[in-house]
Amino acid sequence: MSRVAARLLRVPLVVLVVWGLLAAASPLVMTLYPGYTLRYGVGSGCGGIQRLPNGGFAAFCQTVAQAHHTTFAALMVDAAFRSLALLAGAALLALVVGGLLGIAAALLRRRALASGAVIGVTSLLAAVPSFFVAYFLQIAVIVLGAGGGGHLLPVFGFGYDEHLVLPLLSISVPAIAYTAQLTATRMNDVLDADFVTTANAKGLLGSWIVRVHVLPHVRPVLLEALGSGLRVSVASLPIIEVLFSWNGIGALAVEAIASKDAPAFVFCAVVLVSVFALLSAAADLSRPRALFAR
Amino acid sequence: MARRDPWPFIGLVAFFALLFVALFGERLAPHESIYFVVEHGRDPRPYDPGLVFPFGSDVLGRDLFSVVLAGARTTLGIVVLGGLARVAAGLVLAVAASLSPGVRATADAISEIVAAVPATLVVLLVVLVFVRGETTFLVFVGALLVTGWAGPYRVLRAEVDRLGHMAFTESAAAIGASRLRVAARHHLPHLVPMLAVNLSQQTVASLVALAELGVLGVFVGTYRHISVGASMSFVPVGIRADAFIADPPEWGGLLANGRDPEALWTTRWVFLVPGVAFALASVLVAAVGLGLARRYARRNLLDDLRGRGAAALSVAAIVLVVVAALVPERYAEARAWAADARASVAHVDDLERSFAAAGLAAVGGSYTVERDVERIAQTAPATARVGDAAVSESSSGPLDVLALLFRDSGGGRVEAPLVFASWGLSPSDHRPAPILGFPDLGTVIADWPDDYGAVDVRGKIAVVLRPLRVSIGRRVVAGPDADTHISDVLKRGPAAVIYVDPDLPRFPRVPTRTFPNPYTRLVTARPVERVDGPPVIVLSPAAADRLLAPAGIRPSEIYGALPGGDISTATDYAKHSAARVLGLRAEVSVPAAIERAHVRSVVGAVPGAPRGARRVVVWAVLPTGEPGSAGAADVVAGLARMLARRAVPVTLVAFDPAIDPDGNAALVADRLGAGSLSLVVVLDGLTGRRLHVSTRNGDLIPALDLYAERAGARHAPTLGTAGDSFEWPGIRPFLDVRSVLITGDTGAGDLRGDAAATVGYLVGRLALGAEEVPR
Repeated sequence: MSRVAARLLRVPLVVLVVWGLLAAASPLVMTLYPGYTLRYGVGSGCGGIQRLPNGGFAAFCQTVAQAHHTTFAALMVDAAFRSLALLAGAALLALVVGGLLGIAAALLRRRALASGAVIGVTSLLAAVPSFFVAYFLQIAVIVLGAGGGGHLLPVFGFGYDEHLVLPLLSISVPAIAYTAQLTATRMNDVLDADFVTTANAKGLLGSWIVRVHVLPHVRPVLLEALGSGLRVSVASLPIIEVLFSWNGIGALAVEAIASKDAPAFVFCAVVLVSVFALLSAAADLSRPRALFAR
Repeated sequence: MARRDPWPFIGLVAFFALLFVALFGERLAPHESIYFVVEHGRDPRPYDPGLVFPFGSDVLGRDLFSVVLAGARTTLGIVVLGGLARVAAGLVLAVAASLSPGVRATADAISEIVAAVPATLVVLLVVLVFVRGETTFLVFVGALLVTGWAGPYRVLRAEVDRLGHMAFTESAAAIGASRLRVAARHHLPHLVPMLAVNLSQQTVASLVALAELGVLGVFVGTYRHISVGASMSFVPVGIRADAFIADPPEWGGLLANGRDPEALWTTRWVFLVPGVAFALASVLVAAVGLGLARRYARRNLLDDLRGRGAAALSVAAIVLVVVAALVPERYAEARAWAADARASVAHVDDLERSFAAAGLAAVGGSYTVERDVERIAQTAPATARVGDAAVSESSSGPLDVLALLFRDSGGGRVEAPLVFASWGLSPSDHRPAPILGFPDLGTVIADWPDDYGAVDVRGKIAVVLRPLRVSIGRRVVAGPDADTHISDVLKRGPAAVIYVDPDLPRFPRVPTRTFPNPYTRLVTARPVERVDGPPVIVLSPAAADRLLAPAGIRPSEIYGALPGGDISTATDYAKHSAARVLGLRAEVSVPAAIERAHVRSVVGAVPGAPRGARRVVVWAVLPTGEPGSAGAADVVAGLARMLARRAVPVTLVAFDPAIDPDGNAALVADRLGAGSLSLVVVLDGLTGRRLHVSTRNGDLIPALDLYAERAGARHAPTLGTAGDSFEWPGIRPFLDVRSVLITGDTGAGDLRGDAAATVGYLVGRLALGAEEVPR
């Protein structure tokens, strides 16, 4: 139990240390480069020119909150909810789809080609960059929508409705792939274990073995896979949100860098770091120390 | 196992595919990345796939497929280096941590923090801070290393720990095997699958980081801002003519130019082609990792390394590398042209005779284009003095004193009584002509007092303030133009004019199309005709304050006292003129003299070129002092000897810019027939440490840099297209032709050989049929 407590204690510790480091370093770092405009239409900007008291001119950056015409607190709370909605959806998809895929791959292991295909395809899928998945989905929706003569799905923009579909899909692909892989590996190991052989020898029903003797051993791996897989999703959060104009925490962090808004950057980064640290702890704690330790 | 696992074979194929593209991509590309199709009929850029190029073009008209192929080596090089650096750092730290508890605690703590911070944001910050116009990719590799070593470290440390506690390690130690032997013989083979998977994962992560930076619009390598607008015969509305491009071409930079949301509907191939390249490369790298991991999951790496297969594979890889090194680059022979040109540079005294001796063809019957020119020019800075106070022209800082030599004024030194003519407004100069009932200047000041009625400026030095705006009620009317206003003073016969213009400091010393200077425009449009006319000197209010202090007039206070900056009918000026005699003597001096010269440019064409071929002109600017001493002339003389028997469409010009460069150039242009030229290469001032290339035609910038590099010339990379202020002696008649100016940075050092080599390489490529020069 103390192991769990120690691991959980490390989460706020890491967040605090990172917070301190960022709060100290980012205002300094942000003086070292000129601000830039992220892209047309995305509200961030160092495009403005400000008149200095001495009569000269200087490039002037709006803060992120100014660019979005709202207060800092309201913007950040809203953005945090938007990002968490994406991550929660991705977690659900990863658990259900990834877990089922992994179990299927393991059960098909007697057919080497099929299971190899599942493993291989998921590995390769995990390698496809999320920005490409996002862009490809956007284009596919546009082309299909144009072919069908109608408006299929919104391609970008924010909304807790059908706007969720594409960002959610593109952000959960790596998590799904990762979960499927880990589940399949673990399940393979369990299926090779002596007690399964014994159970088979005793003539127990295959479905019974799987349900009673195998799946309980696989369950903790699901949580571990979720922790590791979702970390990939968090890492690609900034780019996905920028591409879909989602204005969550990740996109705001990028905007804050572009317009040299240190407080906004630190806040966004700390939120992302907290999520990261929590997921790492979850993955660590659910990782079985050795096969069948108990 | 009944079936052979296909993944190791797939991984092998993927590895060789990546190696092949990285090694030969640039050579296999159908076009070079320096080839721009700036115009294709009236088709808008970027061109649709299949229109000009099968996979479409980028914003500036380059073949996207070719650029992607050409960028493969750089991109894959960066990401493999980044992945290797991450895994190597992780392995070293993991081994160190397994030996020392102190290292372990520190590395654990730091890796926990590093792993927690989102890598994209940190890489973005590092690249923003450290990447300046001219940097190496090592910065990016460093950024990848800093953000990514924690993952491999944690995984490898756990594995090293596990192996350290295995029974076979203990047995090996028990029978006396050294630590090194245990590590190399027993641990390494166990680590191979993990290292392979990690390396491929980290390489993919680096690829993704590179792509994400591109999507966010941040470049990794050297980048240039290129505008091709000047190379187009017409400029369509709403089509971008400029973009940032990476050099050498690199995939992230390609993504950066296609990422606008509207591009999803209109020009998706600009993003999709490099995007597919990224995705394919990621999948291939992952396949390599997967193949290795599956092959060595239950097999010893060392056994394989001793086998025949490993030898065959490494031989194949080495052969690929060697072949890549041996395949000649495109137009490799042009390097010989560059070397010949460099060797042929020699000093000559008489260019005409040396052109004739080399066997160049005379253009239009003669090797020389001669004329006599004269012009009135200012010979020294202008000065003005009132009592103890004096101002004079300077050559730097904001404009505050400017001598104005134009048709109505002149030069010379004048000493005369000083009179103040106030705003210099006289109803007689401005007839009322209201437009549709709106008042003009004449209507507003119709019943104002005549400033010239109050004082007589004849034979005196008149101080006139420029009225920027005049208002009646809430209606504001612009004051008179400075040139008509000054002419109005001059026609009343003053000995000299001191003109105060509050706008003067805002005008640029060297005007451009976007920042014009009305005074320099006046000087060109109405050139001076007399050496001794009434001198005119324009002052800023601040300079006028200094000069007129003895007379008790402070123009900046006069301007400051105007309500809203306008002279309105409500002010005193509408009732009484402020003009008065100041009772002081002043002196104005604008030294000017007639300059005369006999201008003699030398022109020769390389004979034997195909009839009708558009020619490249090498335009060497002679120094205005003593002809023949210039580096540029020596380069042209050398080129004449070298090219005379090579039948390339090149014309050599040694241009004398004395006194009236544009007029002289117009004569030369007549002789050449400016319509049949494809490119003018201008050589001027070839001293210094490095060559600098500038041009308005952005499509030439990557090409010229490539030429200079291949020719082995010392040169500074060109980072952007020259703006409106781009100028070389004699440019006016050639504004429709693409032109490039090659100069040295000022300073000691001989750059003649480097310039000759660059031009020689260019001509060599032209002769060998390179597609980017003739257009």
